[in-house]
Amino acid sequence: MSESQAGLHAHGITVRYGGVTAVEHVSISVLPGQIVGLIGPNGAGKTSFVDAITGFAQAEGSVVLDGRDLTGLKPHQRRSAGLARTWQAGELFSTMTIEENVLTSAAPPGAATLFRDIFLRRPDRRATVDGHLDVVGLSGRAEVSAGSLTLGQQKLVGVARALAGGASILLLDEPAAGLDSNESLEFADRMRRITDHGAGILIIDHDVDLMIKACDLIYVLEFGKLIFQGTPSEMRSDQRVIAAYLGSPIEGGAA
Amino acid sequence: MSTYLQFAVFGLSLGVLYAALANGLIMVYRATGIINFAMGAMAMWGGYVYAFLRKESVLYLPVGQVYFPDDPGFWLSLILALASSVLVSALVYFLAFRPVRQAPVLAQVVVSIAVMLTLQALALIRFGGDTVRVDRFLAADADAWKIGGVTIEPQTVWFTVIVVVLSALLWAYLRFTRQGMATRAAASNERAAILMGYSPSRLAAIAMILAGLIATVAVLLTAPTTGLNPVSYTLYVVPALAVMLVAKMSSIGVATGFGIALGAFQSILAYLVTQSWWPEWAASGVDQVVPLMIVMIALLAFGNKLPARGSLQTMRLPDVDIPRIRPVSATVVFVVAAALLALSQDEWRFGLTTSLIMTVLALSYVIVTGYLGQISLVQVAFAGTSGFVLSKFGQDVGIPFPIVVVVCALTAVVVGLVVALPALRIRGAQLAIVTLTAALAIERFVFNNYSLTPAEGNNIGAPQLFGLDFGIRQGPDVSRLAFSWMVLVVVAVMVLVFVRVASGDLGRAFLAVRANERAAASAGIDVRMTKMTGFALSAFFAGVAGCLIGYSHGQLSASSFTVFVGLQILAVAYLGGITSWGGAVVAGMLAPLGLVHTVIDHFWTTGNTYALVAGLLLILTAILNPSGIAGATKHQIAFVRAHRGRRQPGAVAETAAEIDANANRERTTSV
Ligand SMILES: Nc1ncnc2c1ncn2[C@@H]1O[C@H](COP(=O)(O)OP(=O)(O)OP(=O)(O)O)[C@@H](O)[C@H]1O
Ligand SMILES: [Mg+2]
Repeated sequence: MSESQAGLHAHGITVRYGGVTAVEHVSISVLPGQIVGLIGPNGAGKTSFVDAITGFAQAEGSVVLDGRDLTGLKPHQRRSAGLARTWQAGELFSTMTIEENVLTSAAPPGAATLFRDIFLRRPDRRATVDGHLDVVGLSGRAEVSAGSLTLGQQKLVGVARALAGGASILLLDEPAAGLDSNESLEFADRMRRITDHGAGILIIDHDVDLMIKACDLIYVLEFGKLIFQGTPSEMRSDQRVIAAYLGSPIEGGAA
Repeated sequence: MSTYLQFAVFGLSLGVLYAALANGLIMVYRATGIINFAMGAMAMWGGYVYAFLRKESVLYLPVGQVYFPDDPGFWLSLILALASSVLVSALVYFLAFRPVRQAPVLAQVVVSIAVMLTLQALALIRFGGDTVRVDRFLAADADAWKIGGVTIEPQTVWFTVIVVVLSALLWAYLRFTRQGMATRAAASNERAAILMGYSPSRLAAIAMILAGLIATVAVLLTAPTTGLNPVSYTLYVVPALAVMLVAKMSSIGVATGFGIALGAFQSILAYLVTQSWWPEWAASGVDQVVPLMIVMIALLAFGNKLPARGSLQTMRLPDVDIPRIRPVSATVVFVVAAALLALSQDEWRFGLTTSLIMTVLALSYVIVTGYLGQISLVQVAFAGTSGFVLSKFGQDVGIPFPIVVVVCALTAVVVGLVVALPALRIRGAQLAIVTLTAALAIERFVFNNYSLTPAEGNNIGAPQLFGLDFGIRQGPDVSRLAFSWMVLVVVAVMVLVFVRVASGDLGRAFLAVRANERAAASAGIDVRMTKMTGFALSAFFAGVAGCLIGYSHGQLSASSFTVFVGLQILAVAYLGGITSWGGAVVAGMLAPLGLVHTVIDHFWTTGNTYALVAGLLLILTAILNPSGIAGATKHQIAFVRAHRGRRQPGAVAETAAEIDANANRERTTSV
């Protein structure tokens, strides 16, 4: 694998719903160790873009992960290849415990699962699960029912679920919505810990302060089109971004 | 050519029935969102009322009857028949459908199946199982017309005209009246109807009544040609469901045209199968294979465009507690069961043994519906398939006993995989339709096909292992202990397998798919493969049960594997609690020919009391307590524990959360 191929390279992604073009020819790269932000007003097409590259929405364009072409693969195949995502609405399995939620992706069934389930000893995966929960700050709560969590906590479990089973790139759809500002800052640190281990993160969020603090690179979408890509400090002074999204220049910056 | 046309004309009388039933289905669906599996059974009631007024001058009410001095005559009988139809529709709506209008799809399907079973049992009890002749609805005084060699009775034309006109009226009601528009709106959003100034439940009740009326009229028109029979009329809903799917569950015009065409086509087929070139083995039940093919084609053509109401979000099912095996209590249960079998004899031992077998069949529902979340009504046909193969194998090939069961169950798996294919595209109530259609097709085409399953010579030999005879009979003993113990061992193994799978990675993946398919896919679960695996596994369980049923009867009897038996087992599986093996055991006890059945038959002479009681209980369960009997007890236990654990007055607000937390901590459905 050559250096230029490592990470996620989505090229020319276009998503249409009937007559509406929700995403138009968007190309985004996320390299290992990077935290990349994707921001834009409501309905700009951020979620649609993530749906497209994870195989949940029909789309044009190509998706390459660590040199492997994922275009046309099924969602679960992309997931096994290392492209993991979370959902804007959490989408946990609400009748299961946190631990079981995380285990779904840690141990998805394969050809031999039926045999293993019936005849072999169960491996103890508690430590792995606790490890993932620790990363998102939910250690020790493995037995709690996912349905009883707040939306913020549900999304954190979603992140843990995406981490489990191995992920080289994480796509996080508004993971920090539902957290207060202190928790958001904590969350930024946690993301950094994840990328320190070599994974890359694409994060969608409306909290511009958080994005400026946490991200190495930021992409801005408006009406399905990319209108900006660059570092947080470049973005703060970009006239189009200010007009489309920020409204006014960010003072000082949170960093 | 004119022969074909002639048969097409003959088929019109069934065709109008299909059209009317399908329109009734559409009406109910658009008003309530419920697929009314009881449509045929409801319509049949008015037909019976009419027939018995004319024959015996008795007005049958659901409970009780009124005697007339002599034949009340055509008009009064007609009015009373239609009035009974209104009564039945209103009762069904207010007692069964309305309470579950916000409930999960599974509860709605179960309730409407329960109504179907209840009405059928009631009809069997009140009117008997024999086909009842019905006098012509319209006098056949005019001469038949002859057009180009085809004889057409004027009344055939009148039938068709009446049903088409009534259908047009239904269409106009939905389309042009303010009330009709509000009905359509209310189905998706009750507040819309309220804003328009209507009460949603009154609108739905009216729609149910109109649906019942048109279907009843069609039954009155058709019954003189076919005779009234509680089984066939209840099941006429199946072709009507196929028609409904073709009409995309909404178009009354398409349903009317297609329903009539289907009747004509089936009639032509009935003629074709009598031809010498038609293969004899494929002659029986073709009329039921046709609806199945129609359903399949309709789904392939516009599977994803069918209204997807309640397909995703509302597929809520009772919670699942991950089962765990506790060696000590498992052994105790096993020994107690073995002792009970040894202590009982004759009918009681047979009932208990049947309950054990039915536990395995119920487990197949627990897997496919409770865990995987797919409503399948075909499981008993898997069992039948396996039993069918066993009856072929048992004699000819001579594969030794435990292996032959596995082989037969594997053939059921193959059938299961084929039937699972539609489940990859559709879910919820639509899958229930497909699987019901498939079950009926398999029943008629295979089990009731005398060239495939001759009435004589389906004997299933006694299972033998290491020279030991595990047959159910020997000399005067018709319920041997050796057989029962063998069954107990097989059932124990199957329960063990279930618990292992349910508590393993596959079980978790099933639950994930059940809860949220796209979240499951995003967790790396191959949803299609997981569904196929679940269907295959459930078919295997059903197949094992089918073999045991075959052994327990000493032959393959089609009557063990009818659609109704399948529905009754779904019913009791739901009653018992569709998400746990404990529920399956309860289901086994409640199942047809099981222990409770034996008790009921012991004290009541009529054989249909069981079906009636089961149907009524099922309606009650689905309404009051969607997690079933086993689930209810579990919750009560959790509740009591929560209260004992921390007896603090004033902590009321915490209780609910506590119960949940407790239920999670306990997570022990120990053996
Ligand atoms: N399944 C769908 N069918 C039709 N249109 C859709 C669908 N999903 C999204 N859209 C439309 O596509 C556009 C982009 O939506 P998307 O959810 O991707 O925006 P977003 O940037 O994630 O917004 P938000 O910040 O509110 O989450 C919107 O106009 C939305 O209405
Ligand atoms: Mg979004």
